[in-house]
Amino acid sequence: MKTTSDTSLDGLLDNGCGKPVSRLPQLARRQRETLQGYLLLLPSMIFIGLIIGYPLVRSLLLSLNRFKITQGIDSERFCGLCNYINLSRDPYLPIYFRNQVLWVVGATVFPILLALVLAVIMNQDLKLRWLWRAVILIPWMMPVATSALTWRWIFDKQWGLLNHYLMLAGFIQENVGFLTDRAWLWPSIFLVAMWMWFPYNYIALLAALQCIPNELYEAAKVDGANALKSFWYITLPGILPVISLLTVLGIIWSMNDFTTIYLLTQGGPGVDSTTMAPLVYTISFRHLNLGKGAAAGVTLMMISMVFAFIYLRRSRDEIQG
Amino acid sequence: MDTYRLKFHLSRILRTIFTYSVLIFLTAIIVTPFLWLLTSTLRPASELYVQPPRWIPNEITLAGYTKAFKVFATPLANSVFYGLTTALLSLLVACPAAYSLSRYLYPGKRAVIIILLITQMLPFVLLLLPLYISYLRLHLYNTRLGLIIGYTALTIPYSILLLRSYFASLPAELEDAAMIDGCTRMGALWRIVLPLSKPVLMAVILNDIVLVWNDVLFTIFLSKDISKQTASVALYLFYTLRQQSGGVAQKEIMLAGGVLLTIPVIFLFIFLQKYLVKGMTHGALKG
Repeated sequence: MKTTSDTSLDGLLDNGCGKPVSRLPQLARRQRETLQGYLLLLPSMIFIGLIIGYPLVRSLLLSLNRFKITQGIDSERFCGLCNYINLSRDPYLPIYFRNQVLWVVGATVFPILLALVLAVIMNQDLKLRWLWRAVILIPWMMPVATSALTWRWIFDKQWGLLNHYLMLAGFIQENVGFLTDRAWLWPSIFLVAMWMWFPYNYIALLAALQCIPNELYEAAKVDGANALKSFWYITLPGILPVISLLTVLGIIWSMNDFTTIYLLTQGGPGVDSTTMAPLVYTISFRHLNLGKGAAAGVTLMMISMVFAFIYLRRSRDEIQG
Repeated sequence: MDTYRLKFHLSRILRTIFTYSVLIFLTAIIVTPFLWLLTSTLRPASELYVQPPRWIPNEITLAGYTKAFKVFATPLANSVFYGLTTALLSLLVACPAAYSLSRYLYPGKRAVIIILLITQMLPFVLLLLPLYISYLRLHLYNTRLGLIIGYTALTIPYSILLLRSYFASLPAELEDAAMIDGCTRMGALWRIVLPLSKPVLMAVILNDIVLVWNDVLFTIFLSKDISKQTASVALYLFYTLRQQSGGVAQKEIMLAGGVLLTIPVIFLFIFLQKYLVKGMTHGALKG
């Protein structure tokens, strides 16, 4: 606002009636403003540059170097695309890829689905609302480490709660290792991901639902629409922008997520639940091959950036400063 | 007419029953892990290993907690310390930056905001490889200072984004008036903008503390001693290392540790919840 008036003033002066001298303090003030703006930004940019920017560039270079930490901290040598070639020849690559797709899709879709059901229910007049609300937010409050160990305890093959209940219900005949049997591994992981990640989606969806004016539903009712129809034609279109935003965010977050899978299964059994982020850690610190680890990480980043680009395009007006 | 009304009422009652049964079913599943964790920690270790599992133990004891507290006291203190210092440092750095992005006009502003958004979408595991090497070289590896620097950088971008969108929503006229009255720009930020921004400042603090509290990645890469690590990592290492070494799993300590880790977060949420939701709806999900 200030600047528009400033520029129009400049324009007036440019029309020939002003003396150049009178513009000088103006310009100086604006330059000072610009300088001050940069100065205020500087400390944060130093932090980000050193801890995020530099490592980013460094790991791009690292992925082009042969660097095994066992051969000493100065053993880094340029080797072109050797790490990427090495990675592409990894016999487990199709499994990592499958895991990554399974994980991203499951950890994005299931939390949103559960959140949607709960948000639609909670958007009505309910008794004991505070109670339901408190319960729904519990998984959000539990630290990831606590959640992971709690689920591991529930999944316990010998003493776990889930085995007991599934047996009671007759779904299984003998105890299952939920995180060790291939058939149960991914459903179990999805259950945990859904449980851990739905509250954020729930809050966003509930806020979106509350923005839909009630009159629309009343009008639909007058026109004879049933609950299903008004959900399909009013609710869903109303929250679709939020759902698609949550989907993109969910994809980006789960794609890069290291902690959940790592704490839950450590990528096992074998490599059956190893997704990209834990893979970077495993290659770098278990196989001690930092170059190849970086190559895997850079690959992951490239894929993430595609979705980051989609997100940035979607939230363009937020960026207009 | 009467049968029509009856039908209408009946369908409403059926719908209510359906709604509540779905709600009760789902919330029961959601709350089960939490309750099972709680009841598991209130019993002697021997009662953990019974078939069928018992919801109510025969003997109630807090022995698990006293043992867990001994193991996790230092990591818990670390987590509190890291969380608070990170939140303060992050605010100190992010406030001026956010103010600059919301009020000043200069080339490159858009680029800065895009960079900040992109940092939220990077796989941090990738950044930690070179960071690990640099930390080794600079002797920051396995130090408190190193971790705090890392955490601060981790939280700064999101803090700036949150603060910026809030600052931008405040009317600039207030600061203009203050500056006409002789305030400098910085004085206006300190006296006018920040006091008006309490909700978002709280949201940023809460967000930073929780981020540090939950973090596993930074601590696992950049430290190795339990005396330096956060409680999340200490807890995780406690149960995996025991399991791998084939020693006694000591589940009661681990489960009680899990509860100890959760309690502070629950209190934080209860006190600051309204700020958090406010901050969230102001940040990532706007637009």
